[in-house]
Amino acid sequence: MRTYVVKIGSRSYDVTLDENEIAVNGVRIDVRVLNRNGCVVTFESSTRNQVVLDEQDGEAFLLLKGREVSCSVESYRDRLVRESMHQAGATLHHSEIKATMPGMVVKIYATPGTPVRKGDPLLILEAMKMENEIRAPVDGVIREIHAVERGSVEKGDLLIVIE
Amino acid sequence: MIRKILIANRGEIAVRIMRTCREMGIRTVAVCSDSDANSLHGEVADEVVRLSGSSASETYLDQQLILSAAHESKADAIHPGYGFLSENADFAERVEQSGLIWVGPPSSAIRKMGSKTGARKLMKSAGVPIVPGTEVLRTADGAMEFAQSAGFPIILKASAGGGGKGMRIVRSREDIAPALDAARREAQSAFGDDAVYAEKYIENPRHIEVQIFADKFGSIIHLGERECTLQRRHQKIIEESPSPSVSVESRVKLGQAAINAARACGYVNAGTIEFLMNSTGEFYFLEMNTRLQVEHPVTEEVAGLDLVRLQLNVASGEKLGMTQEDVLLRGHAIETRIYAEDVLAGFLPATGKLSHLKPSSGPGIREDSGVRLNSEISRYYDPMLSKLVVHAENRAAAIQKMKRALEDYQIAGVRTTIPFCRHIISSKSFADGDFYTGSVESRYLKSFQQETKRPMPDEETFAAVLAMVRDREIFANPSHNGKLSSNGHVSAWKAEGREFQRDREI
Repeated sequence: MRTYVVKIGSRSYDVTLDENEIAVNGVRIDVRVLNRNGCVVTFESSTRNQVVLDEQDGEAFLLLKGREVSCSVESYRDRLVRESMHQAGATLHHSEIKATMPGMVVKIYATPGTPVRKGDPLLILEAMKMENEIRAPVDGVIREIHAVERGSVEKGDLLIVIE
Repeated sequence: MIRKILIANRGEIAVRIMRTCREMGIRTVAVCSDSDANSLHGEVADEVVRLSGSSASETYLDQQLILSAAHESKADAIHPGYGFLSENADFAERVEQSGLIWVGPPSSAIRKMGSKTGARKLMKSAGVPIVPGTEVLRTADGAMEFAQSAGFPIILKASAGGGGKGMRIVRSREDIAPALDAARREAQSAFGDDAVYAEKYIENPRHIEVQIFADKFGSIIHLGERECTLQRRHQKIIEESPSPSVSVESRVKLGQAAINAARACGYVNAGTIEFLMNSTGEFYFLEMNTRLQVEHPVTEEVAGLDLVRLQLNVASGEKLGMTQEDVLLRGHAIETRIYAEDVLAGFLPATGKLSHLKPSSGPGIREDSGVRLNSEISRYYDPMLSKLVVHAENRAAAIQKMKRALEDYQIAGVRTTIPFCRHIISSKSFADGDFYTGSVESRYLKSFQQETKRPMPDEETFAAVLAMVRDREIFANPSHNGKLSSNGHVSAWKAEGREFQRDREI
């Protein structure tokens, strides 16, 4: 028997696979994967369906009938590894704000050493001629500012550290 | 007579224009920036002229570069599409003076309607109703004065603007100065002109626009209205024709006002008069778009006409060949715009490569797309990928068809507005026609967020499928077994895909 933890959105499902039985949260389920072509998986349960598994920048999404939701699959072994790593780094308690797209920093509101509340505007990033306000994801204090006004940034560049 | 035409645009509109040109036996010349070197519009064209550089200002907005490309390729006409140089009166004038045919209105009409403040004056004198507002604002004091007399909220707009860029709604005194700065910056960056003016902001309005068409012989017709109320960040996302909120009487009045507006500025070719309609059905002139609109396909579907063909005919000096009585509008059409955007991150533009693409199809479904499999979605241009359009016998059937089309659409590599559009289209309020320009922000974003938090029907089944896909990967490939990192499962899907491909090749 092999066990997996599948996360779909904020929900978590325990899936166990046996030679001839599949159970989700302990309830037996009747489903077959028919084929897979790249990121498209065709499966059959009560009806036949296609789901698109889309991976972007380390995040995975499931697309099905015009609905999109984040998802991840972890084997039992993965989880043990992750949890042991998580404990080792548990003292780390800060939030890094990275550029979610390439563009130009138009304005920086944040100043080092000042406290911010979740939702406070930190800076304005312009991409494709639209100004996008980047807001604080957590309460905290601005520790580091790596962005400069009128400076261009690439996707993933570290902009601000909140602690 | 046009034999060869340069399309000074990119993406879906360039492709859409080229298709009609092909049908009419007109050779097409595409212009492609460096980042568009492998783009669909370059593939569809008969000839390509490369524009060196990637930003819009050094390529699609460079007038001299576009004119040289037209001369170099011996084109005898230029179609500007929408956006970029389409509403630039100076460019239109340069095209006219260079002896090329400009597929659009005369530069004089663009100039008259291009200044939003000038257009408002002209409309007032032509008897077209307008919203109270100011001239171009020099200082925040001017905006403050207007706000005090008209009352908050007010809206700041770029005088040269359109597409929601350089626009800010202001609800209090202290917001005026920062909003004015931001509107100016955006206006400068988008249009090269930071002139901004203020208007009284009409709460909960609907955005209704009328398609008009005029030839060089003084004939002007209208092709009914489009409902373009649903917008995010002042950019339209779902459009339909006819509008569910316009009565038969209003339709006649709107059509007449639109024709009066077009006549007042000496208009020729395709144009759109945008109106704001308040809750009691009164409408006010908002602006005129002196070009083909993004959402023109919904009009084409109900009118049974090809607006690009009409544009080319009129630009060549032909008569419209039809009167208002010949215009027969049939059924109902809806368009949803597919943008590469992360909706819940505030419609943040997304970049990436389309790793999978299988658009929906079938009777009554049309897609005007600017991308194909493996297209790179860059940060340089507007993030709209494609437009999905349906046509059916009535609104209810069109909604059902659009819902199906959105459900069937498969795309991977960038996040898109498909799930969000599907959410709106499926809602009761949309079916009831109960929405305003602010509904995306005030209503649909919230209900969409709630929907994404709720489990999907049969979610246990998908969980099982995901586990089975992963399981197969671990046990089909011993090298993975026991060596997976904590996040190894994510890229493992890619590995699985490759493996599957390999299996099939063997």
